[in-house]
Amino acid sequence: MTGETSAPQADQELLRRSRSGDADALTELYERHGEGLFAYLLRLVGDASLAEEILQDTLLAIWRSERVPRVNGSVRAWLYALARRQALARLPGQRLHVVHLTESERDAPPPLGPDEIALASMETPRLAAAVGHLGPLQREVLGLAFVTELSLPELAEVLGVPIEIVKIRLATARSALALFARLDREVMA
Amino acid sequence: MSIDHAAARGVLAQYVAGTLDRVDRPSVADHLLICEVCRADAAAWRSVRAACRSAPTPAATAPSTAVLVVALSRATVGRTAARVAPVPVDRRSVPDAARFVVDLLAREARLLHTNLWAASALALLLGVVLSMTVADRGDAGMVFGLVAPVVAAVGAAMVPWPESGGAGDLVLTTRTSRQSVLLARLGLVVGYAAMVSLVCSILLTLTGAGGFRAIIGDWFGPMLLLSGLAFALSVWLGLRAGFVGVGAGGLLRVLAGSPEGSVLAGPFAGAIRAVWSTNPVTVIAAAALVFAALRWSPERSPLDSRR
Repeated sequence: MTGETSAPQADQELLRRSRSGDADALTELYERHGEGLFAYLLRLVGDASLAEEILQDTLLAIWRSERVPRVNGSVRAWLYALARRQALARLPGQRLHVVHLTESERDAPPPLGPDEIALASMETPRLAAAVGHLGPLQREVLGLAFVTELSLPELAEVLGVPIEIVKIRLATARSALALFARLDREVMA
Repeated sequence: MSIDHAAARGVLAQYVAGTLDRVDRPSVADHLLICEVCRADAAAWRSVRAACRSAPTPAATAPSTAVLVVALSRATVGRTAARVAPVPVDRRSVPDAARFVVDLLAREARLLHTNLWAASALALLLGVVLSMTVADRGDAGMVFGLVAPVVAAVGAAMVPWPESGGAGDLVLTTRTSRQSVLLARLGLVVGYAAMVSLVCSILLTLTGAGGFRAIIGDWFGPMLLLSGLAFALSVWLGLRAGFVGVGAGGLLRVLAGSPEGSVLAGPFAGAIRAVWSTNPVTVIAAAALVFAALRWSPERSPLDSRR
């Protein structure tokens, strides 16, 4: 994580050179971000060879791009957004949803229920197992926030939704995780 | 308390993940010290974080080394061109940029304190009344030329501070930069004062205080310069410094009097009167002050704190 966040300018430069056909630059960009992107894609699609193919598509898309991509925020977020687009292009069933906010969603932080409070006292292995029961969108947002460690604006950029939706998705994922963990425990008992 | 409860709750996941802005992190930490609900919330996020980081991935954790080689060969052979989704190109077109500016201004206009609008309009109207009461009708423009810049500059000094209306949340939760928010607010506050002053100038012209253009010339340049100065002082040294700047500027102008007579020595008074007028230099100086305040603002922006 250290190299990725400490040198965003180097990333910009590498991206610019990769685009103009510099194989060394693309290689370096891959060395910096390949592993993280692969881990993300693997969580997203659940199949290593498919994840590798999508990663190839991503690299190819950078290489082929004719226009200079204007990266507003971090190159990292831009790369994850691009990888996500490649993944969705491969998975025709999934579509990006444009979500409109209602006023209540915008204002009220979701309540902290008994399940969520109980989360703090649960053993990590049981919770980790519950992560596997989550839906793909929920697994994705948790992974990007806590494993890839993207910031809130980066998450919004990668997922293509407003920041408020990112927050709601994170909260929903946590509620689901708490629920699954409780159900697991009840089944065990 | 440096951040409100709702704003802190909204970013607790990022606080736990360690992805929160270095500037915002201490204020969330401060809030956690005093808020039990948020502490419980953060503890729950910590469990989620631990679970995510130790969740088993379906297979390998590193991509095959062939990925890059294959990608590069595909690039040269050009086999699967059609399958690759194109790179999203973020071109902020002119209509988009215009929409962004309009959105930002509308949002800020709602956030700014309603009292600010009423107070500055009232002060400007009082300025008109005051100008009409001067003994020599020819001096009306000069009096209004003192009042209007001072009113606008007081508003400009308040822009970076919570007194003008909460904006910390906006910066914390959207991708709008602090500079954009500050600039939008400054533009709204000074722009509004200028519009009201324009109406006042029409009133003054109708009551025979002088030519319309001359009256506008009396206040327009000084309004920009004094507002720029107040804003810069306020950003750099605090709200009080901004107000002191406004007061000092206004006082100097009063002491400089008119060519017929002034308290200060002739050349000095003349210089102050030259600065206190509408010309390209005052406008450029005002813009430079605002630019410098935004470019070299303190590490911890005034927008973050609510004291």
